[in-house]
Amino acid sequence: MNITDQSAAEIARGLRDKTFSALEVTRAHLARIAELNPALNAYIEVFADAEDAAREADRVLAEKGTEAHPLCGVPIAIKDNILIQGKRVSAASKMLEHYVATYDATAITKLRAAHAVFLGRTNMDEFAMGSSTEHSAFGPTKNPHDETRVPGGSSGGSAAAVAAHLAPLALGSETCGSIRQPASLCGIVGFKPTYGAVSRSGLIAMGSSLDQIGPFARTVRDAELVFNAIRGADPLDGTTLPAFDTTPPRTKRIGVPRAFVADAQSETRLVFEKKLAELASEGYDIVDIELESAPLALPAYYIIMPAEVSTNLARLDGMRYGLHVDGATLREDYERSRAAGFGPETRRRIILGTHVLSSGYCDAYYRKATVLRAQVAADLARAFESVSFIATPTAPGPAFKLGEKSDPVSMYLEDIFSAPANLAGMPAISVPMGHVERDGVELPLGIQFMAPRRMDASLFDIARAARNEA
Amino acid sequence: MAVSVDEVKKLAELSRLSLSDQEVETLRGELDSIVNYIEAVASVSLPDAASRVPHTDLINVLREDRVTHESGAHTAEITAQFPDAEDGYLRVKKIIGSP
Repeated sequence: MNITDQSAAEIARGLRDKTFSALEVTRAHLARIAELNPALNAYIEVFADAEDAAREADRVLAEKGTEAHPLCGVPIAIKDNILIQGKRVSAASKMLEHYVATYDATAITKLRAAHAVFLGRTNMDEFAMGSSTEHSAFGPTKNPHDETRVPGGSSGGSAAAVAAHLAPLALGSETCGSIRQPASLCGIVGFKPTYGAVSRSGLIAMGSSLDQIGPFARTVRDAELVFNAIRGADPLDGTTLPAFDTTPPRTKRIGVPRAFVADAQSETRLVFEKKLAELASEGYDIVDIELESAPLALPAYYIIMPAEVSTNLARLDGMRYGLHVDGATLREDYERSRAAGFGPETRRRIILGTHVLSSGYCDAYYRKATVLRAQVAADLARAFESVSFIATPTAPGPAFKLGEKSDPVSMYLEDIFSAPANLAGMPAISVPMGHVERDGVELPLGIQFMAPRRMDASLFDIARAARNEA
Repeated sequence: MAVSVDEVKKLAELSRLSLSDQEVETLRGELDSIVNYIEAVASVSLPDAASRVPHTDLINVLREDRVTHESGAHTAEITAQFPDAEDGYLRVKKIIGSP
Protein backbone atom coordinates (compact mmCIF):
# COMPACT_ATOMS: atom_id res chain seq x y z
CA MET A 1 0.00 0.00 0.00
CA ASN A 2 1.40 3.34 -1.10
CA ILE A 3 0.90 6.33 1.22
CA THR A 4 0.56 8.77 -1.71
CA ASP A 5 -2.40 6.76 -3.06
CA GLN A 6 -4.40 7.44 0.10
CA SER A 7 -7.09 10.04 0.56
CA ALA A 8 -6.84 12.61 3.36
CA ALA A 9 -9.47 10.67 5.36
CA GLU A 10 -7.46 7.45 4.95
CA ILE A 11 -4.26 9.23 5.98
CA ALA A 12 -6.06 10.60 9.07
CA ARG A 13 -7.11 7.04 9.97
CA GLY A 14 -3.60 5.67 9.36
CA LEU A 15 -2.10 8.34 11.61
CA ARG A 16 -4.51 7.42 14.42
CA ASP A 17 -3.92 3.67 13.92
CA LYS A 18 -0.16 4.41 13.92
CA THR A 19 0.14 2.65 10.55
CA PHE A 20 2.48 5.51 9.67
CA SER A 21 3.58 8.84 11.13
CA ALA A 22 2.89 12.33 9.76
CA LEU A 23 6.60 12.60 9.02
CA GLU A 24 6.45 9.43 6.89
CA VAL A 25 3.38 10.78 5.08
CA THR A 26 5.09 14.09 4.30
CA ARG A 27 8.34 12.37 3.27
CA ALA A 28 6.42 10.05 0.91
CA HIS A 29 4.85 13.06 -0.80
CA LEU A 30 8.13 15.00 -0.93
CA ALA A 31 9.81 11.99 -2.57
CA ARG A 32 7.08 11.80 -5.20
CA ILE A 33 7.32 15.54 -5.80
CA ALA A 34 11.09 15.22 -6.31
CA GLU A 35 10.43 12.46 -8.84
CA LEU A 36 7.52 13.95 -10.83
CA ASN A 37 7.52 17.72 -10.35
CA PRO A 38 10.42 18.46 -12.72
CA ALA A 39 8.24 17.24 -15.62
CA LEU A 40 4.86 18.51 -14.34
CA ASN A 41 5.88 21.89 -12.84
CA ALA A 42 2.90 21.74 -10.47
CA TYR A 43 4.85 23.29 -7.59
CA ILE A 44 6.75 26.56 -7.91
CA GLU A 45 8.40 25.95 -4.54
CA VAL A 46 8.50 23.07 -2.07
CA PHE A 47 8.76 24.28 1.52
CA ALA A 48 11.98 23.33 3.29
CA ASP A 49 10.16 23.28 6.65
CA ALA A 50 7.45 20.78 5.64
CA GLU A 51 9.16 18.01 7.62
CA ASP A 52 9.32 20.24 10.72
CA ALA A 53 5.58 20.86 10.45
CA ALA A 54 5.02 17.09 10.11
CA ARG A 55 7.08 16.41 13.26
CA GLU A 56 4.99 18.98 15.11
CA ALA A 57 1.82 17.25 13.86
CA ASP A 58 3.16 13.93 15.17
CA ARG A 59 3.67 15.54 18.56
CA VAL A 60 0.08 16.86 18.53
CA LEU A 61 -1.24 13.44 17.45
CA ALA A 62 0.66 11.74 20.28
CA GLU A 63 -0.81 14.21 22.76
CA LYS A 64 -4.39 14.47 21.51
CA GLY A 65 -4.91 11.11 19.79
CA THR A 66 -8.39 10.86 18.29
CA GLU A 67 -9.16 14.41 19.52
CA ALA A 68 -6.70 15.85 16.99
CA HIS A 69 -8.19 17.68 14.00
CA PRO A 70 -8.95 15.37 11.04
CA LEU A 71 -6.41 17.32 8.95
CA CYS A 72 -3.64 17.07 11.60
CA GLY A 73 -0.53 15.76 9.82
CA VAL A 74 -2.24 15.70 6.41
CA PRO A 75 -0.19 17.40 3.67
CA ILE A 76 -1.76 20.12 1.56
CA ALA A 77 -0.52 22.16 -1.41
CA ILE A 78 -1.28 25.90 -1.50
CA LYS A 79 -1.93 28.02 -4.58
CA ASP A 80 0.69 30.72 -5.03
CA ASN A 81 -1.78 33.56 -4.40
CA ILE A 82 -2.56 32.63 -0.77
CA LEU A 83 -0.31 34.21 1.87
CA ILE A 84 1.76 32.14 4.30
CA GLN A 85 3.72 34.35 6.65
CA GLY A 86 7.45 34.37 5.94
CA LYS A 87 7.08 32.49 2.63
CA ARG A 88 7.33 33.87 -0.85
CA VAL A 89 4.01 34.36 -2.62
CA SER A 90 4.20 35.57 -6.20
CA ALA A 91 0.79 34.97 -7.87
CA ALA A 92 3.08 33.40 -10.53
CA SER A 93 4.12 36.91 -11.57
CA LYS A 94 7.52 38.53 -12.12
CA MET A 95 5.95 41.49 -10.33
CA LEU A 96 5.91 39.62 -7.00
CA GLU A 97 8.67 37.05 -7.67
CA HIS A 98 10.60 37.97 -4.51
CA TYR A 99 7.67 39.13 -2.36
CA VAL A 100 7.51 37.59 1.12
CA ALA A 101 4.13 37.38 2.86
CA THR A 102 3.96 39.44 6.04
CA TYR A 103 0.94 37.60 7.48
CA ASP A 104 -1.08 34.39 7.15
CA ALA A 105 -4.25 34.29 5.08
CA THR A 106 -7.21 33.38 7.31
CA ALA A 107 -7.59 30.03 5.50
CA ILE A 108 -3.92 29.35 6.34
CA THR A 109 -4.42 30.38 10.00
CA LYS A 110 -7.24 27.83 10.23
CA LEU A 111 -5.25 25.03 8.54
CA ARG A 112 -2.25 25.85 10.74
CA ALA A 113 -4.44 25.53 13.84
CA ALA A 114 -5.49 22.10 12.52
CA HIS A 115 -1.77 21.20 12.09
CA ALA A 116 -2.13 20.44 8.39
CA VAL A 117 1.29 20.32 6.68
CA PHE A 118 1.95 22.88 3.92
CA LEU A 119 4.00 21.10 1.23
CA GLY A 120 4.63 24.01 -1.08
CA ARG A 121 3.12 26.66 -3.31
CA THR A 122 1.57 25.67 -6.61
CA ASN A 123 1.75 27.13 -10.08
CA MET A 124 -1.08 29.16 -11.57
CA ASP A 125 -1.90 31.61 -14.32
CA GLU A 126 -0.42 34.99 -13.40
CA PHE A 127 -2.67 36.75 -10.87
CA ALA A 128 -5.20 33.90 -11.45
CA MET A 129 -5.97 35.09 -14.98
CA GLY A 130 -6.28 32.18 -17.36
CA SER A 131 -7.68 28.71 -17.95
CA SER A 132 -4.54 26.72 -18.74
CA THR A 133 -1.73 27.76 -16.32
CA GLU A 134 0.23 28.75 -19.46
CA HIS A 135 0.16 32.39 -18.29
CA SER A 136 2.49 31.65 -15.36
CA ALA A 137 5.74 33.64 -15.36
CA PHE A 138 7.43 30.41 -14.23
CA GLY A 139 6.46 28.14 -17.12
CA PRO A 140 3.30 26.10 -17.70
CA THR A 141 2.12 23.15 -15.61
CA LYS A 142 1.52 19.90 -17.53
CA ASN A 143 -1.54 17.71 -17.24
CA PRO A 144 -0.61 14.46 -15.41
CA HIS A 145 -2.87 12.46 -17.79
CA ASP A 146 -0.98 13.72 -20.86
CA GLU A 147 2.02 16.01 -20.50
CA THR A 148 1.41 17.58 -23.93
CA ARG A 149 -1.84 19.00 -22.53
CA VAL A 150 -2.73 21.76 -20.06
CA PRO A 151 -4.11 21.06 -16.56
CA GLY A 152 -6.64 23.89 -16.88
CA GLY A 153 -6.44 27.03 -14.81
CA SER A 154 -5.94 29.26 -13.19
CA SER A 155 -5.36 26.83 -10.26
CA GLY A 156 -3.65 24.33 -12.61
CA GLY A 157 -0.71 23.61 -10.30
CA SER A 158 -3.00 22.69 -7.40
CA ALA A 159 -5.15 20.45 -9.64
CA ALA A 160 -2.15 18.71 -11.23
CA ALA A 161 -0.52 18.20 -7.80
CA VAL A 162 -3.60 16.41 -6.43
CA ALA A 163 -4.22 14.44 -9.65
CA ALA A 164 -0.58 13.24 -9.76
CA HIS A 165 -0.66 12.32 -6.04
CA LEU A 166 1.90 15.01 -5.18
CA ALA A 167 -0.54 16.00 -2.42
CA PRO A 168 -3.84 14.53 -1.24
CA LEU A 169 -5.32 18.04 -0.94
CA ALA A 170 -4.79 21.52 -2.29
CA LEU A 171 -6.21 25.01 -1.94
CA GLY A 172 -7.14 26.92 -5.05
CA SER A 173 -9.10 30.05 -5.77
CA GLU A 174 -11.87 30.92 -8.19
CA THR A 175 -12.94 34.11 -9.80
CA CYS A 176 -14.65 32.27 -12.65
CA GLY A 177 -14.03 28.53 -12.95
CA SER A 178 -10.43 28.52 -11.73
CA ILE A 179 -11.08 25.59 -9.37
CA ARG A 180 -13.80 23.68 -11.24
CA GLN A 181 -12.31 23.74 -14.74
CA PRO A 182 -8.84 22.43 -13.75
CA ALA A 183 -10.55 19.83 -11.52
CA SER A 184 -12.49 18.71 -14.61
CA LEU A 185 -9.41 18.62 -16.85
CA CYS A 186 -7.34 16.73 -14.24
CA GLY A 187 -10.06 14.25 -13.18
CA ILE A 188 -10.46 15.29 -9.54
CA VAL A 189 -12.96 17.04 -7.24
CA GLY A 190 -13.01 20.87 -7.09
CA PHE A 191 -15.38 22.95 -5.00
CA LYS A 192 -16.26 26.66 -5.30
CA PRO A 193 -18.05 27.67 -2.07
CA THR A 194 -20.84 30.22 -1.69
CA TYR A 195 -19.37 33.74 -2.06
CA GLY A 196 -18.53 34.76 1.50
CA ALA A 197 -18.33 31.25 2.96
CA VAL A 198 -14.52 31.35 3.11
CA SER A 199 -12.52 34.44 4.09
CA ARG A 200 -10.37 36.02 1.39
CA SER A 201 -8.13 37.80 3.86
CA GLY A 202 -4.63 37.00 2.55
CA LEU A 203 -5.78 35.99 -0.93
CA ILE A 204 -4.15 38.21 -3.57
CA ALA A 205 -7.18 39.98 -5.00
CA MET A 206 -8.24 39.64 -8.62
CA GLY A 207 -11.98 40.37 -8.96
CA SER A 208 -13.13 41.13 -5.45
CA SER A 209 -16.88 40.73 -6.06
CA LEU A 210 -16.16 37.21 -7.34
CA ASP A 211 -13.00 35.80 -5.67
CA GLN A 212 -13.40 32.76 -3.42
CA ILE A 213 -10.96 30.18 -1.99
CA GLY A 214 -11.86 26.50 -2.30
CA PRO A 215 -10.45 22.95 -2.08
CA PHE A 216 -9.18 20.30 -4.50
CA ALA A 217 -9.20 16.62 -3.51
CA ARG A 218 -9.51 13.15 -5.02
CA THR A 219 -12.66 12.34 -3.00
CA VAL A 220 -15.75 14.40 -2.22
CA ARG A 221 -15.31 13.64 1.46
CA ASP A 222 -11.82 15.13 1.47
CA ALA A 223 -13.01 18.31 -0.28
CA GLU A 224 -15.72 18.62 2.36
CA LEU A 225 -13.14 18.15 5.16
CA VAL A 226 -11.06 21.06 3.86
CA PHE A 227 -14.08 23.28 3.27
CA ASN A 228 -15.28 22.71 6.83
CA ALA A 229 -11.80 23.55 8.14
CA ILE A 230 -11.43 26.87 6.27
CA ARG A 231 -14.98 28.28 6.24
CA GLY A 232 -16.43 30.83 8.63
CA ALA A 233 -17.04 34.52 9.28
CA ASP A 234 -13.90 36.64 9.58
CA PRO A 235 -13.62 40.24 10.81
CA LEU A 236 -10.73 40.63 8.34
CA ASP A 237 -13.06 40.04 5.36
CA GLY A 238 -16.25 42.10 5.50
CA THR A 239 -17.85 39.96 2.79
CA THR A 240 -17.78 36.76 4.85
CA LEU A 241 -21.19 35.44 5.82
CA PRO A 242 -22.29 34.69 9.39
CA ALA A 243 -22.11 30.98 10.21
CA PHE A 244 -24.77 29.04 8.33
CA ASP A 245 -26.05 25.49 8.19
CA THR A 246 -27.34 24.01 4.99
CA THR A 247 -30.97 22.90 5.13
CA PRO A 248 -31.65 19.55 3.45
CA PRO A 249 -32.63 20.08 -0.20
CA ARG A 250 -36.40 19.96 -0.71
CA THR A 251 -36.30 17.64 -3.69
CA LYS A 252 -34.03 15.27 -5.59
CA ARG A 253 -34.74 17.23 -8.76
CA ILE A 254 -31.83 18.19 -11.03
CA GLY A 255 -32.45 20.91 -13.62
CA VAL A 256 -30.56 20.71 -16.91
CA PRO A 257 -30.41 23.88 -19.06
CA ARG A 258 -30.21 21.95 -22.35
CA ALA A 259 -30.04 24.96 -24.66
CA PHE A 260 -26.99 26.19 -22.68
CA VAL A 261 -25.38 22.73 -22.51
CA ALA A 262 -25.51 22.58 -26.34
CA ASP A 263 -22.34 24.75 -26.26
CA ALA A 264 -20.32 21.73 -25.03
CA GLN A 265 -18.50 19.40 -27.44
CA SER A 266 -20.71 16.53 -28.66
CA GLU A 267 -18.67 13.80 -26.92
CA THR A 268 -18.82 15.78 -23.67
CA ARG A 269 -22.61 15.92 -23.98
CA LEU A 270 -22.79 12.14 -24.48
CA VAL A 271 -20.76 11.45 -21.33
CA PHE A 272 -22.87 14.04 -19.47
CA GLU A 273 -26.17 12.40 -20.54
CA LYS A 274 -24.85 8.99 -19.44
CA LYS A 275 -24.04 10.37 -15.98
CA LEU A 276 -27.49 11.98 -15.75
CA ALA A 277 -29.07 8.63 -16.64
CA GLU A 278 -27.10 6.99 -13.81
CA LEU A 279 -28.33 9.65 -11.37
CA ALA A 280 -31.89 9.06 -12.60
CA SER A 281 -31.52 5.35 -11.82
CA GLU A 282 -30.45 6.35 -8.28
CA GLY A 283 -33.72 8.21 -7.71
CA TYR A 284 -32.91 11.70 -8.94
CA ASP A 285 -35.44 13.45 -11.23
CA ILE A 286 -33.82 15.00 -14.26
CA VAL A 287 -35.86 17.91 -15.68
CA ASP A 288 -35.26 20.43 -18.46
CA ILE A 289 -35.01 24.07 -17.39
CA GLU A 290 -34.67 27.40 -19.17
CA LEU A 291 -31.78 29.69 -18.23
CA GLU A 292 -32.19 32.35 -20.85
CA SER A 293 -29.48 34.71 -19.59
CA ALA A 294 -26.88 31.99 -18.91
CA PRO A 295 -25.03 32.34 -22.26
CA LEU A 296 -24.58 36.07 -21.50
CA ALA A 297 -22.97 35.38 -18.12
CA LEU A 298 -19.48 34.92 -19.58
CA PRO A 299 -19.42 38.10 -21.73
CA ALA A 300 -20.80 40.02 -18.71
CA TYR A 301 -18.04 38.46 -16.61
CA TYR A 302 -15.46 39.67 -19.16
CA ILE A 303 -16.59 43.22 -18.40
CA ILE A 304 -17.01 43.02 -14.61
CA MET A 305 -13.80 41.08 -13.92
CA PRO A 306 -11.37 43.24 -15.97
CA ALA A 307 -12.95 46.35 -14.42
CA GLU A 308 -12.10 44.95 -10.97
CA VAL A 309 -8.68 43.70 -12.13
CA SER A 310 -7.62 47.09 -13.47
CA THR A 311 -8.60 48.59 -10.11
CA ASN A 312 -7.11 45.89 -7.84
CA LEU A 313 -3.79 45.72 -9.69
CA ALA A 314 -3.31 49.50 -9.63
CA ARG A 315 -1.58 49.05 -6.27
CA LEU A 316 1.26 47.16 -7.94
CA ASP A 317 3.34 50.14 -8.95
CA GLY A 318 6.87 49.11 -7.98
CA MET A 319 6.98 51.57 -5.09
CA ARG A 320 6.55 49.84 -1.74
CA TYR A 321 7.11 46.20 -2.74
CA GLY A 322 7.47 44.05 -5.83
CA LEU A 323 9.47 44.61 -8.99
CA HIS A 324 10.92 48.09 -9.41
CA VAL A 325 12.36 49.29 -12.71
CA ASP A 326 13.88 52.73 -12.55
CA GLY A 327 12.91 55.47 -15.02
CA ALA A 328 13.71 59.16 -15.42
CA THR A 329 10.56 60.30 -13.57
CA LEU A 330 8.20 58.84 -10.99
CA ARG A 331 5.67 58.24 -13.74
CA GLU A 332 8.26 56.35 -15.76
CA ASP A 333 9.05 54.28 -12.67
CA TYR A 334 5.39 53.21 -12.59
CA GLU A 335 5.13 52.54 -16.31
CA ARG A 336 8.37 50.57 -16.59
CA SER A 337 7.84 48.56 -13.41
CA ARG A 338 4.34 47.54 -14.49
CA ALA A 339 5.37 46.76 -18.08
CA ALA A 340 8.26 44.59 -16.86
CA GLY A 341 6.29 42.97 -14.04
CA PHE A 342 3.04 42.02 -15.79
CA GLY A 343 2.75 39.32 -18.46
CA PRO A 344 0.65 39.60 -21.64
CA GLU A 345 -2.69 38.32 -20.27
CA THR A 346 -2.48 40.53 -17.18
CA ARG A 347 -1.76 43.57 -19.34
CA ARG A 348 -4.64 42.67 -21.68
CA ARG A 349 -7.09 42.55 -18.79
CA ILE A 350 -5.82 45.78 -17.22
CA ILE A 351 -6.21 47.56 -20.57
CA LEU A 352 -9.63 45.97 -21.17
CA GLY A 353 -10.79 46.93 -17.67
CA THR A 354 -9.61 50.48 -18.18
CA HIS A 355 -11.52 50.53 -21.50
CA VAL A 356 -14.86 49.29 -20.12
CA LEU A 357 -14.66 51.78 -17.23
CA SER A 358 -13.60 54.76 -19.33
CA SER A 359 -15.84 57.73 -19.92
CA GLY A 360 -18.26 57.07 -22.78
CA TYR A 361 -18.06 53.27 -22.46
CA CYS A 362 -18.97 52.76 -18.82
CA ASP A 363 -22.74 52.85 -19.37
CA ALA A 364 -22.66 50.60 -22.44
CA TYR A 365 -20.40 48.00 -20.82
CA TYR A 366 -19.92 48.09 -17.07
CA ARG A 367 -23.38 49.26 -15.98
CA LYS A 368 -25.09 46.98 -18.48
CA ALA A 369 -22.99 44.04 -17.26
CA THR A 370 -23.97 44.63 -13.63
CA VAL A 371 -27.64 44.67 -14.65
CA LEU A 372 -27.13 41.43 -16.58
CA ARG A 373 -25.44 40.00 -13.52
CA ALA A 374 -28.61 40.65 -11.53
CA GLN A 375 -30.59 39.06 -14.37
CA VAL A 376 -28.45 35.90 -14.30
CA ALA A 377 -28.94 35.66 -10.53
CA ALA A 378 -32.71 36.18 -10.92
CA ASP A 379 -32.95 33.50 -13.64
CA LEU A 380 -31.04 31.05 -11.44
CA ALA A 381 -33.24 31.87 -8.43
CA ARG A 382 -36.34 31.23 -10.53
CA ALA A 383 -34.95 27.89 -11.71
CA PHE A 384 -34.20 26.90 -8.11
CA GLU A 385 -37.88 27.34 -7.21
CA SER A 386 -38.56 24.05 -8.97
CA VAL A 387 -35.24 22.17 -8.75
CA SER A 388 -32.65 21.67 -6.00
CA PHE A 389 -29.62 21.36 -8.29
CA ILE A 390 -28.56 22.53 -11.73
CA ALA A 391 -26.17 20.33 -13.68
CA THR A 392 -23.95 21.07 -16.69
CA PRO A 393 -20.65 19.73 -17.97
CA THR A 394 -17.93 21.65 -16.07
CA ALA A 395 -16.03 22.61 -19.23
CA PRO A 396 -16.89 22.30 -22.94
CA GLY A 397 -14.30 19.56 -23.51
CA PRO A 398 -11.29 17.69 -22.09
CA ALA A 399 -7.76 19.05 -21.54
CA PHE A 400 -6.45 20.80 -24.67
CA LYS A 401 -2.90 20.92 -26.03
CA LEU A 402 -0.36 23.40 -24.70
CA GLY A 403 -0.42 26.39 -27.05
CA GLU A 404 -3.69 25.31 -28.67
CA LYS A 405 -5.78 28.26 -27.48
CA SER A 406 -3.52 31.19 -28.33
CA ASP A 407 -6.49 33.38 -29.22
CA PRO A 408 -7.68 35.00 -25.93
CA VAL A 409 -11.43 34.57 -26.61
CA SER A 410 -11.09 30.84 -27.35
CA MET A 411 -9.42 30.48 -23.93
CA TYR A 412 -12.13 32.56 -22.22
CA LEU A 413 -14.81 30.19 -23.56
CA GLU A 414 -13.44 27.40 -21.33
CA ASP A 415 -15.41 29.07 -18.51
CA ILE A 416 -18.76 29.36 -20.29
CA PHE A 417 -20.47 26.97 -17.81
CA SER A 418 -18.64 28.34 -14.77
CA ALA A 419 -19.69 31.98 -15.09
CA PRO A 420 -23.33 31.84 -13.85
CA ALA A 421 -22.40 30.48 -10.37
CA ASN A 422 -19.62 33.06 -9.93
CA LEU A 423 -21.76 36.02 -10.99
CA ALA A 424 -24.57 34.89 -8.67
CA GLY A 425 -22.27 33.94 -5.75
CA MET A 426 -23.66 30.41 -5.71
CA PRO A 427 -21.73 27.30 -4.68
CA ALA A 428 -20.77 24.76 -7.34
CA ILE A 429 -18.78 21.53 -7.41
CA SER A 430 -17.06 19.61 -10.19
CA VAL A 431 -16.58 15.84 -9.97
CA PRO A 432 -15.29 13.40 -12.61
CA MET A 433 -18.09 12.01 -14.83
CA GLY A 434 -16.18 9.91 -17.38
CA HIS A 435 -13.54 10.00 -20.09
CA VAL A 436 -13.05 10.72 -23.75
CA GLU A 437 -10.15 9.46 -25.83
CA ARG A 438 -7.74 11.84 -27.58
CA ASP A 439 -4.61 10.57 -29.39
CA GLY A 440 -4.99 7.21 -27.65
CA VAL A 441 -5.10 8.78 -24.15
CA GLU A 442 -8.11 8.65 -21.84
CA LEU A 443 -8.83 12.20 -20.72
CA PRO A 444 -11.18 12.98 -17.82
CA LEU A 445 -14.31 15.12 -17.99
CA GLY A 446 -16.15 16.70 -15.08
CA ILE A 447 -19.82 17.34 -14.29
CA GLN A 448 -20.72 20.39 -12.25
CA PHE A 449 -23.62 20.83 -9.87
CA MET A 450 -24.80 24.25 -8.73
CA ALA A 451 -27.03 24.99 -5.75
CA PRO A 452 -28.54 28.13 -4.17
CA ARG A 453 -26.35 30.17 -1.86
CA ARG A 454 -25.65 28.56 1.52
CA MET A 455 -26.60 25.12 0.15
CA ASP A 456 -22.92 24.09 0.01
CA ALA A 457 -23.40 20.88 2.01
CA SER A 458 -26.13 19.63 -0.34
CA LEU A 459 -23.56 19.71 -3.17
CA PHE A 460 -21.31 17.27 -1.32
CA ASP A 461 -24.25 14.85 -1.06
CA ILE A 462 -25.12 14.94 -4.75
CA ALA A 463 -21.41 14.83 -5.66
CA ARG A 464 -21.03 11.67 -3.55
CA ALA A 465 -24.02 10.15 -5.35
CA ALA A 466 -22.45 11.01 -8.71
CA ARG A 467 -19.17 9.39 -7.61
CA ASN A 468 -20.78 6.39 -5.87
CA GLU A 469 -18.83 7.44 -2.79
CA ALA A 470 -20.13 6.10 0.51
CA MET B 1 -12.05 48.21 -35.83
CA ALA B 2 -13.49 48.46 -32.32
CA VAL B 3 -10.45 50.06 -30.69
CA SER B 4 -7.94 52.31 -32.48
CA VAL B 5 -4.18 52.44 -32.00
CA ASP B 6 -4.54 55.86 -30.37
CA GLU B 7 -7.14 54.52 -27.96
CA VAL B 8 -4.84 51.65 -26.94
CA LYS B 9 -2.03 54.15 -26.36
CA LYS B 10 -4.36 56.28 -24.23
CA LEU B 11 -5.51 53.23 -22.25
CA ALA B 12 -1.88 52.18 -21.68
CA GLU B 13 -1.14 55.68 -20.41
CA LEU B 14 -4.13 55.56 -18.03
CA SER B 15 -3.03 52.08 -16.88
CA ARG B 16 0.59 53.24 -16.34
CA LEU B 17 1.99 50.62 -18.70
CA SER B 18 4.80 51.48 -21.10
CA LEU B 19 4.22 49.52 -24.30
CA SER B 20 6.26 49.31 -27.49
CA ASP B 21 4.56 50.11 -30.81
CA GLN B 22 4.61 46.39 -31.60
CA GLU B 23 2.86 45.60 -28.29
CA VAL B 24 0.27 48.31 -28.93
CA GLU B 25 -0.50 46.82 -32.35
CA THR B 26 -0.78 43.27 -30.97
CA LEU B 27 -3.03 44.44 -28.15
CA ARG B 28 -5.21 46.38 -30.57
CA GLY B 29 -5.90 43.22 -32.58
CA GLU B 30 -6.63 41.17 -29.45
CA LEU B 31 -8.87 43.84 -27.97
CA ASP B 32 -10.80 43.89 -31.24
CA SER B 33 -11.81 40.25 -30.86
CA ILE B 34 -12.47 40.58 -27.10
CA VAL B 35 -14.57 43.74 -27.49
CA ASN B 36 -16.44 41.99 -30.30
CA TYR B 37 -17.21 39.18 -27.85
CA ILE B 38 -18.41 41.40 -24.99
CA GLU B 39 -20.46 43.45 -27.46
CA ALA B 40 -23.21 40.86 -26.83
CA VAL B 41 -23.73 42.58 -23.47
CA ALA B 42 -23.85 46.12 -24.84
CA SER B 43 -26.39 45.10 -27.49
CA VAL B 44 -28.78 43.18 -25.20
CA SER B 45 -32.06 44.96 -24.56
CA LEU B 46 -33.34 44.65 -21.03
CA PRO B 47 -36.84 45.19 -19.69
CA ASP B 48 -37.24 48.53 -17.88
CA ALA B 49 -37.78 46.99 -14.47
CA ALA B 50 -34.60 44.97 -14.73
CA SER B 51 -32.51 47.85 -16.03
CA ARG B 52 -33.17 49.72 -12.79
CA VAL B 53 -31.65 46.91 -10.74
CA PRO B 54 -28.02 47.92 -10.38
CA HIS B 55 -26.62 44.72 -8.95
CA THR B 56 -27.28 41.64 -6.92
CA ASP B 57 -28.14 42.12 -3.25
CA LEU B 58 -25.21 44.14 -1.99
CA ILE B 59 -25.16 45.78 1.42
CA ASN B 60 -22.54 47.84 3.18
CA VAL B 61 -20.76 46.03 6.00
CA LEU B 62 -19.51 48.46 8.64
CA ARG B 63 -17.42 47.96 11.74
CA GLU B 64 -15.68 50.07 14.33
CA ASP B 65 -12.13 51.00 13.42
CA ARG B 66 -9.80 49.61 16.02
CA VAL B 67 -6.12 48.97 16.54
CA THR B 68 -5.40 45.24 16.43
CA HIS B 69 -1.67 45.17 17.06
CA GLU B 70 1.08 47.14 18.73
CA SER B 71 2.53 50.05 16.83
CA GLY B 72 5.57 48.92 14.86
CA ALA B 73 4.84 45.19 15.24
CA HIS B 74 5.08 44.57 11.47
CA THR B 75 7.24 47.51 10.43
CA ALA B 76 10.44 45.52 9.93
CA GLU B 77 8.88 42.90 7.59
CA ILE B 78 7.06 45.53 5.56
CA THR B 79 9.94 47.97 5.18
CA ALA B 80 12.26 45.08 4.28
CA GLN B 81 10.40 44.86 0.96
CA PHE B 82 10.95 48.50 -0.03
CA PRO B 83 12.80 48.61 -3.36
CA ASP B 84 14.72 51.61 -2.08
CA ALA B 85 14.97 52.87 1.51
CA GLU B 86 16.91 55.26 3.67
CA ASP B 87 16.85 55.17 7.49
CA GLY B 88 13.69 53.03 7.37
CA TYR B 89 11.91 55.44 5.03
CA LEU B 90 10.75 54.60 1.52
CA ARG B 91 12.77 56.57 -1.02
CA VAL B 92 10.90 57.75 -4.14
CA LYS B 93 11.66 60.30 -6.85
CA LYS B 94 11.07 63.98 -6.27
CA ILE B 95 7.55 64.86 -7.45
CA ILE B 96 7.05 68.37 -6.10
CA GLY B 97 8.16 70.94 -8.62
CA SER B 98 8.51 68.41 -11.44
CA PRO B 99 6.23 68.74 -14.50
